[in-house]
Amino acid sequence: MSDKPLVVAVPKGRILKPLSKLLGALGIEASALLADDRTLVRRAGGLEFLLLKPDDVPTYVEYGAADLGICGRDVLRERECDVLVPLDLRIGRCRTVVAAPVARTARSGVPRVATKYPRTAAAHFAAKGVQAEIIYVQGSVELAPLVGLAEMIVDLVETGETLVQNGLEIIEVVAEVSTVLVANRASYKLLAADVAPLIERLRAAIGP
Amino acid sequence: MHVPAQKNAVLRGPHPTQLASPIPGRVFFDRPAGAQRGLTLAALLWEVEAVHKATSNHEDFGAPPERAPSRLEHALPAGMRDFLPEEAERRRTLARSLTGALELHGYGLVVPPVFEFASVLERGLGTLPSADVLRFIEPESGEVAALRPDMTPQIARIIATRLQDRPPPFRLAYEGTVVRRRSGRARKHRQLPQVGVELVGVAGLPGDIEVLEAAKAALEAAGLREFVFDLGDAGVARPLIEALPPSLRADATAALMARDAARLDALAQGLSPMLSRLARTGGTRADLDEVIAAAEPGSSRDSLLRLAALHDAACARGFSRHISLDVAEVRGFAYYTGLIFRIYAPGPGEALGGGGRYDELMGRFGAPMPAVGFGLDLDALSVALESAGGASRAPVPRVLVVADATGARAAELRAAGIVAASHSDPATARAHARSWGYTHVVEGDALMVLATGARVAYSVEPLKKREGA
Repeated sequence: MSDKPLVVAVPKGRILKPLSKLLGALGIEASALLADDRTLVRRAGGLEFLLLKPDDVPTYVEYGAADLGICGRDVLRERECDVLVPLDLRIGRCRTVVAAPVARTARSGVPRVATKYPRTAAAHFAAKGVQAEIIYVQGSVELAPLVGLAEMIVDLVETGETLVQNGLEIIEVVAEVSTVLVANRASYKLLAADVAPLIERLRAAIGP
Repeated sequence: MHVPAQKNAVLRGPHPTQLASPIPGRVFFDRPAGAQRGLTLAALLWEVEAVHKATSNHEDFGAPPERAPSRLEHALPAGMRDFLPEEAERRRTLARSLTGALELHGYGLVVPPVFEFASVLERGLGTLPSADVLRFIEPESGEVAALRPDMTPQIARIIATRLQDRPPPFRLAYEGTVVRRRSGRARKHRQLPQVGVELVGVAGLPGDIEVLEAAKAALEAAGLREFVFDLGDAGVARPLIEALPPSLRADATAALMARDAARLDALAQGLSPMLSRLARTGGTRADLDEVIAAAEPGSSRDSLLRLAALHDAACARGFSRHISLDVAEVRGFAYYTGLIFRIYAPGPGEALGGGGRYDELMGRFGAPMPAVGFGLDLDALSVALESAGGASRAPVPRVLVVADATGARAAELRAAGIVAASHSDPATARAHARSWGYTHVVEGDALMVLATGARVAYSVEPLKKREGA
């Protein structure tokens, strides 16, 4: 079954740089990932890479359109896809946090929370016993508290710079986020001869 | 109101003033009785109105158009589907080859009802989230009923109630569609056609092996050659999870289910290094030996040894090309008491089916007995068969008999076991035959092979021969 290359779904965007560096450490020449063209399928180092929107990676892997995928834990938690997570790549580290304006007045009742992660946010507040109204927005989440759309946001924070610039501060951390390797359940079993050695090499490259 | 499909033709027709009656040759409207007797005033008014209705552009007059029901509007609830003839035929053939193989192993087919009282069904729902069950109030009794989301509890009920006077073991097979609100997958199938068996009353390894062999025989009968039974044991991880503080158990189970060793490390922080180890363990017999060597004596280690014994017994029975091991399998581990397995094959990207041992299930129905079984997902199995090249059998002859006024020819063909249907219009016969998958057309005394266009003198014999081939 090894005649076809493993298909790896990767998210377009800034994670590609540390990813190709990591693959380079394995001796997989993956500069094709960084090539500035519009092809969505790229071959490198005996693997076939699909360049996707980050949110779509677990979907492609769950259906088996890709055998493996690279994706953030934030996306995984939000999408609730049935995929395996055999390895934490320890890149793309950041946090999902609850943030609110520094200058806020205490309010009672049901807080309104703007977020790109409605399931994650709802689960977080439910677990705390807080009834919150979750407002789904697609981007510029930091704007929501500034214009009164919401009192709080749940969002991904890397350095916290965007929060500071918009007069927001972190109230609590919902989850630590890092980039992980995900695998289709069937591929993980059926292509174990290809998948397992690749995971072992990655594990060795990442270190303890 | 039925709007004729040729409405546009009507719109382009003669102006109303040129018409004394609705479009000749077409009856669009029922006339009032008076209209048939000629030009009474009422009839005249009716004629004008009828023609106006048939020809006017409603928008000009601001009248709300009465829309014809669009074909696409007859939607199905999400996840529900039809099988059209070719697909239904393939599906029936597949189900027959599976149940045929299971019957050869002594499994008798039972047909449980499509819905039951939820309180009965839910006694036996192990792995399925309760939210996935479609429930309704059964009007007759006022009780909550549920569309069967799984047939295993039904078989358990049948054995505990209807078959209690027969001696164990019970070997029962089922074929049918179960309904769930959603399945694990993003595409959220709700209608899942299944074939499976339950073996009740045979404990331990002999029962496990019997069921694995039956499953393998069924897959081979369906024509599948490449497949893997991924074997695990519920007793490996359960004691380790139960040793964790209660607040961590759910998260740890989810992490183990995803083989997420990094998350397990973070969660349990050294509380259970063995759990992380299980998540990282590969699928070979050598990997299993390593884990056994590292395991502390106890029920978890006993389960690992039990899994090793099953693996070796299965290999001795011809499974060695078709086996892998998964010591971290925890799907529904509150339900399974020993063996858990899933079957994978290239193509569908998900399991074709699976099963395991649930020795506590029958007790929930008041007839405590060991039980083991499996179910196959016919949708996933079809995809696997297709991607393996499909069962490209020679097409069964299907004959369209043209202008067979007495029906004698069609009857003769059917008597020989050949599919035959009559078609009255010679002009459309071939097109009809092509679009409905006929292989031959009988025109008078000629038999035409549709694929080649070759015409030979009609006789039943060559058709029969092909069927035998």
